[in-house]
Amino acid sequence: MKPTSQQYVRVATAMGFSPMAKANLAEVHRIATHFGAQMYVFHVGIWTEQCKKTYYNFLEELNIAPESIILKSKEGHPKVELLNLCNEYQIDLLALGALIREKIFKVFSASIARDICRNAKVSLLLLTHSSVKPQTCERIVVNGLDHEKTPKTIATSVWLGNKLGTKELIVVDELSEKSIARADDDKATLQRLRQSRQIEKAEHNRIEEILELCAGDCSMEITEQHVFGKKGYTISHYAKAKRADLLVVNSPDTRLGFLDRIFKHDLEYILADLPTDVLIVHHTKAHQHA
Amino acid sequence: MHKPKNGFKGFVENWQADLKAGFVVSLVALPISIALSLASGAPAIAGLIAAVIGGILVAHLGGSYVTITGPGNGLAVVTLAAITSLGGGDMLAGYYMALGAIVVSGILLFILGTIRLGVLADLFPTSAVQGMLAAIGIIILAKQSHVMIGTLDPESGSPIPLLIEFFSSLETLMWADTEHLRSAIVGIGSLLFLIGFSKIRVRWMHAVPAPLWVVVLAVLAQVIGTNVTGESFFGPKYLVNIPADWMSAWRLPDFSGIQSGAFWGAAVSLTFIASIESLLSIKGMDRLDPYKRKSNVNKDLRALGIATAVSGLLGGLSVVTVIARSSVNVSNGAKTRSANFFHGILILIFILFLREMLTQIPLPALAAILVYTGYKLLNPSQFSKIAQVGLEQLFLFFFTLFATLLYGLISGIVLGMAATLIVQFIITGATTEIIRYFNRPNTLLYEEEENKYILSINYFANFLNYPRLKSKLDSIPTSAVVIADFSSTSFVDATVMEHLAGYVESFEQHGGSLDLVGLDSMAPASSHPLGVQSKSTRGSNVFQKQSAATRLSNKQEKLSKFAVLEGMTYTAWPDLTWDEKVNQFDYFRHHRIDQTINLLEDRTSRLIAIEVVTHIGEFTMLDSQHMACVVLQPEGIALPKFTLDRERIFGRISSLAGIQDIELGSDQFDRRFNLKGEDEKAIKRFFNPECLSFLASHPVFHMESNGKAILIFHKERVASVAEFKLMVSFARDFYQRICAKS
Repeated sequence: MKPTSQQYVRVATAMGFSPMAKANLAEVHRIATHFGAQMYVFHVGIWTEQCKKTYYNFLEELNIAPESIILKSKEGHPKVELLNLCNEYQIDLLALGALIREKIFKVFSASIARDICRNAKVSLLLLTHSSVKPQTCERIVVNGLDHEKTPKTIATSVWLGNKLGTKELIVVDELSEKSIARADDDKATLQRLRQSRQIEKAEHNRIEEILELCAGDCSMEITEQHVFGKKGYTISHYAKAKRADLLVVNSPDTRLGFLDRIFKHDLEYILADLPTDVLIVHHTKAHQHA
Repeated sequence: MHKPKNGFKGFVENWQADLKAGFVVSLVALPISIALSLASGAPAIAGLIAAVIGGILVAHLGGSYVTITGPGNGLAVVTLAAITSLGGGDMLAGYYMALGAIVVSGILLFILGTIRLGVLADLFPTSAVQGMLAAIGIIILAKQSHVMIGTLDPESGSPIPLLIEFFSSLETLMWADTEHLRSAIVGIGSLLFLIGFSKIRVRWMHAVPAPLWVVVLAVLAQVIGTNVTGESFFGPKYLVNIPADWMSAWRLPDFSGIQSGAFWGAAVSLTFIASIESLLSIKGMDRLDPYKRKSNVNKDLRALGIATAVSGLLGGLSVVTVIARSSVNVSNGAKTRSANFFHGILILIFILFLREMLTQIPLPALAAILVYTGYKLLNPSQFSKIAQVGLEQLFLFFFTLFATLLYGLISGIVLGMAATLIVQFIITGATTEIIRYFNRPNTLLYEEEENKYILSINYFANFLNYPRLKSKLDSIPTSAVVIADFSSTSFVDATVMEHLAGYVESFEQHGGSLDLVGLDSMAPASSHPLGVQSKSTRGSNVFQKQSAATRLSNKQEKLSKFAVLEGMTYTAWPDLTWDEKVNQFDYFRHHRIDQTINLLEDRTSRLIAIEVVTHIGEFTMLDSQHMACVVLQPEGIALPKFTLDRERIFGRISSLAGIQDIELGSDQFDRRFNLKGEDEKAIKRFFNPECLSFLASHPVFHMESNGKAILIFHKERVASVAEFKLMVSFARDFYQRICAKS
C-alpha cells in the first residue's frame, strides 16, 4: 500500500513576545503559504492593547495581510490551552520557536515548546533559526528507522520537500551497534565490517521499497545513509554535521516523562540539543482513516 | 609483511625464533621475578610461579601476541600492602591470606574481561597514570634502597619516611659488621653496574641482559668469597631462600578473611592495579609489534584472570602483562605467543635444575635491580617532556604522585582524576558543558564513500568520554581513510590528543590515514602538539584572530611545508583584508565569514587558497562551518559570470535566480555538471574543449565566477591536508588551461 503523507492544511503558531517573535511569524507565514494552508496564531494570556499593537506592527512590517491569519487568544496555562486550541481548530501542524538548547534548570522543569512535543497530538515544527528574510530549505534529513511510522514520515517529508522546493533529501537509517560484532581485534573488525555490509544491504532494500512507493515522481535528489550508533542521537548529530535545514522524525511512541529527560533516549537526544529545525510527524487518527 | 599464523601452524612455523626470544626473556625474568617476590614480601618462589603459570596459560588463552606475562612492578606494591595489612605483622600468615585475595582478584579480572571492561584503562587521564606509575617506582625504590645497603628490615612502613630513614641506614654502615659491609658493597656495586651498563662498549657483554649479569657476578662473589674465606661469605639471611621441599610445602591459600573488608579491599586493589598495568602494557606492545597486530584486550584480561587465580592457588603472585620483559621479547625477534610459553617453561626448568644456584643469590643484588627498576619507573627525564605538553600536566603528574605516596594507589589515581577534571574546568571554562554532556553520546561515524569515513565529534573530547570515541575509532578498519572532524568540539584534552596520536600512527602503518581537522581554530594551551586544545567558550572566540605567535597545529605544519614545496607563501592567521577577497562572491552572501585561516598565496598566478569559517543564519549563531576554497584572479582573460556545480549548492543564491542553465553540447559534461550564467556566448567561448575534457577527468569542484575572479571549492566541510593539496593542484591546472587559450 502506498504510504500517504500527512497533509498540512491548518498551520498554527503560538504568539509570544520574545525577541524571535517577528522572525517566527514571518517563517510560519512563509511555510503556510508554501503549503497553501490556513494560518492560525494562538495567544495564551491577556491580549492587551500593547500586544495588539506589537502584533499588528509586526504584520505590517512583514507585509502580511491581517485577514489572512486567524487569531485566537485565550487565558490559562500556556501548554494546556495551546493543546486545547489545537484540538478545537483541528490544527495539523503547530510551529513553535525554540532555543537550540536549554539552560540546565529548564531541562528538568521543561520549557513550553519542549513540553508540548512530549505530549502533543499534532505534528510539531520546532524553529531554531527563523529569519525575516526568506531562506530556502535546501536539504532535509528524515529518519528511516525500521518502524511502522516511518513510511508515512518519509512520505510527509517528500510532500514537504516538493512544497518547499527542497533539492536534497537524505534518508538516515540509524542501526543499532548491538546487532554487529564488537571490534575487539583485527579479525573482529573484519567480521564487523562484513556484518554491517549485510545489514546495510537489507536495510537498503527496505528503504528502497518505501521510496519507490512514495517518491516516484519527485525532483529531489534522494540519498540514503546508514549509520551505526545510538538511536536519536545519531540522526541529530548527522543533521548537524550535514547542515540540514530540516530534520523530520517520527513522533514518540509513548508520552515522554521526567525520567526520559534524565535517562535520555531517542527523541530526547534531539530535543536536548536541536541540530536544526525539527519536524515531529504525528500521525493523526483521522488521517489514518483517510 | 606476512603476518605469522596463530595456533599450532604458527608454532610450527616460528618456534625457533620464539624459543630464542623466550630464552633471552627468561634470563631477564628469572632475577626480576625473584626480586619482585622480595619486594612483595612473599617467598622467592612466588614470583617464579607467577612467571611460569603466566607464560604457560596466557600463551594459550590470551588475545595479545608478543607480550610477556609474570609478576609486575605495580602489583609488588599492592601485594606487599595486602600481606602486611592482612597478616597483622605475621608475614607468612599474611602471605597465605594474600594468596586468597589473589585468587579472588583473578576471578574478578576474568569477570572484567567477560563484561568487556578492557576499555577501563583508557578512562584514566594520562598524567594521572604517569604520576601513579612514578609513585610505584618511588615506593619500590624507598623500600629496596635499604635492602640494597644491607639493612634488611627498616622501621618505617610508608614510602616518604622510608626515604628519609635511608640516611640513618647509611649511618649504620659506619659501625656495621663485615657481612653487612660486604652486602652494601655488592648492592651499591650492582646499582652502579646497572646504571653504567648501557655505556659499556664491549659488545659481547650485551649478549646477556644486565640483571642477569648482576645476579651472576653477585653469585660469583658469594661462591668465590666463600671458598677464599672458608666461611659463608653472606649469611643465610642475606640470601634468596628457596627450600628444597618447596613443592611439598604447598598448602591451600587462606580464605578465612573472605568476610572482612580488608580482604576485599586487597582483592579489589590487586584487580584494579593488575588491569591497569596489563592494559597499559598491552597497548604499549601493540605499538611495538613488528607485525602491527591488534590485541584483543578483553580476551587477554580473561586469560590473565585465569592465570592469576591458578597462580594464587599454587602459591604464586598475580599474573600481569609486563612491558619491560615484553619489549625485550620483541627486540629478540619474538613472533607469536609461543615466546611467552617458552619463557614460562624455561623458568620452570631453571627452578627444577638450578635451585641450588638460585639460593646463592645475595638479596642486596636483587634489591639493586629493584632500585634501578623503581628509578626507571620514576624516570625523571619524563618531567620536562610532560612540562612541554603543558605545565598543568606537570602539576597533575606531581599531584597524583604525592597523593599516591600519601594515600595509596587507588586513592591516588582517583584524586588524580578529580584534580584533572578541576584543572579542565578552570582552563577551558566549560564546567557546565562537561557536567552536562560527559555521559551523553558525542560521536558520529559514517561512511561517506566506500572506505572513506567521517568521524564527527560534538561538545568536547576528554578522558571521561574518550571510551566512546575509542569504540568508534576501533570499529574502522585501519586501512581506511578517516577524517576526524573536531570543528564542533569546544576542547580536546591532552589524554585524548595522546591517544589520537597513537591512532594516527596506527592508521598510517596500515596504509590508511586519520586526519584530524577542525583543531586549527582552537588555541593550544601549550606549544606541544598533544596539549589541551580549547575554544575558550563555545563559538564565541571565532571572531577573535589568534596572534601569529601561537604555535601551528599538525595540519598547519603540513600545509606550510606544502606551501614551501609549491613555491607559495603560507600565513596561518591572515589579517582581515583577506576576508574581502573571499567576500566578493555571491556564495558568501549566505555564509557570513567569521574568520579566515591557513592562507596559501601564489603571486605569480594570482591564486590564493584559504580556509574560511562561516555561519548561516540571522539572529542565532548556528555552529560555524569550515571550508577550504581557492580564489583565482586571472589576468588578461575575458571572464564571464557563471556558476558550475553538481550538488546544487549555488541554488541558494537568490541573485542568480532567473539565470538559465547552459548546455555545452557535450553529453558527458552536461550530465555531470550544472552550468548557469547570463552570457551564454561568452561562457561557451570560455569553456573550450580542452577545458571540458580537463573538468570531465577530475572530481567535481564547485565554481563561481563574478567576472573578476573565480571561487573554487570542493566540499562544504573542513578539508583535510590531502584534499587541500588536491584542490590547489586542480586550481593550478585549471588556471593553466584557461590562460593557455587566450
